[in-house]
Amino acid sequence: MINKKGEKLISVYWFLILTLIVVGIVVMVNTFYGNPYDVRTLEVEVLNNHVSNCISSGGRMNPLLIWPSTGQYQESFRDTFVEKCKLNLEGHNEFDPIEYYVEVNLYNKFDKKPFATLFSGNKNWIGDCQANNEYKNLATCYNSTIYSTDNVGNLYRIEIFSIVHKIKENVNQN
Amino acid sequence: MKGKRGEGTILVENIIYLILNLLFFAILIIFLIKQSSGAALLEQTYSKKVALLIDQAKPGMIIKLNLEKGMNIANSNKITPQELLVIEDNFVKVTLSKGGGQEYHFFNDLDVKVFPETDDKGEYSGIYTLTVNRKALSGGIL
Repeated sequence: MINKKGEKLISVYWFLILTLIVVGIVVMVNTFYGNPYDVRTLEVEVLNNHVSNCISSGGRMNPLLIWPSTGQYQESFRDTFVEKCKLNLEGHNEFDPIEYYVEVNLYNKFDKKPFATLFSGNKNWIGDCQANNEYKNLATCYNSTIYSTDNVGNLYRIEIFSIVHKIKENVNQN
Repeated sequence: MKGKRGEGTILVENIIYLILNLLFFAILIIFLIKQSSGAALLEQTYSKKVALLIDQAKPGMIIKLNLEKGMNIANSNKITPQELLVIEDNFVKVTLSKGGGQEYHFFNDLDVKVFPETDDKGEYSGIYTLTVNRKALSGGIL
């Protein structure tokens, strides 16, 4: 190791090791940046919050959903749920699959059966939520329960279930 | 580092060896920096961030975005500030290179308009202003 030949030999090996390290780093970096950022966990929470703010704002039920003076459920809200809650779940054209699903179940106090269910989006993704969550190639789901009152003093339990699919944009397909 | 005669000389070989090592690491660092600030990566980051911002926005909000880093890349690829960020039909589209571009859907059904800002010299600064308003001909409570 002291003579010249020895030193050259170490240099060659040193650069071989460096090359190996660099190749490893390049592969790792490319794999890391090649994968898209998965923002669905955040997005599904935002969607859930958006819907819960629409159904009940500031702890009071939406007056278009529960009539303030009588506490009566307005059937018409179910048909215009998407418009009333300012949701646009459609893709570029009608042939693109809808990448979202939202379901709201409204309960009277602690009833086990909902008195109303509002939903919109693609029901095909519901199955993904029942499967094991470890698979990335499935839709991202989020559940939340909130409580609210109307002007008459009735208490409601609201269960919101949201799904965001968007696998193409968030998960590496290779 | 002493020569055969015991003189205190630094061998040329050692200097070359040192320079090659430094060169090697410099190239590696440049590669890492380039990878983390590439057009495709920024397009994806910007489009998703802006879409999530709009999803959480309320009517009447004014959002200011600093896309300076992206604008530098777009300028070198001859992409105009107006082409860089486009919001239409509930999609955010970010383009930083010719033939590139990434779009992301947002669910919040609002009317969002984009205005690239200019500095004192009248040049685009990379700051974008987004105005969020209710869509016309729609009734709601949000």
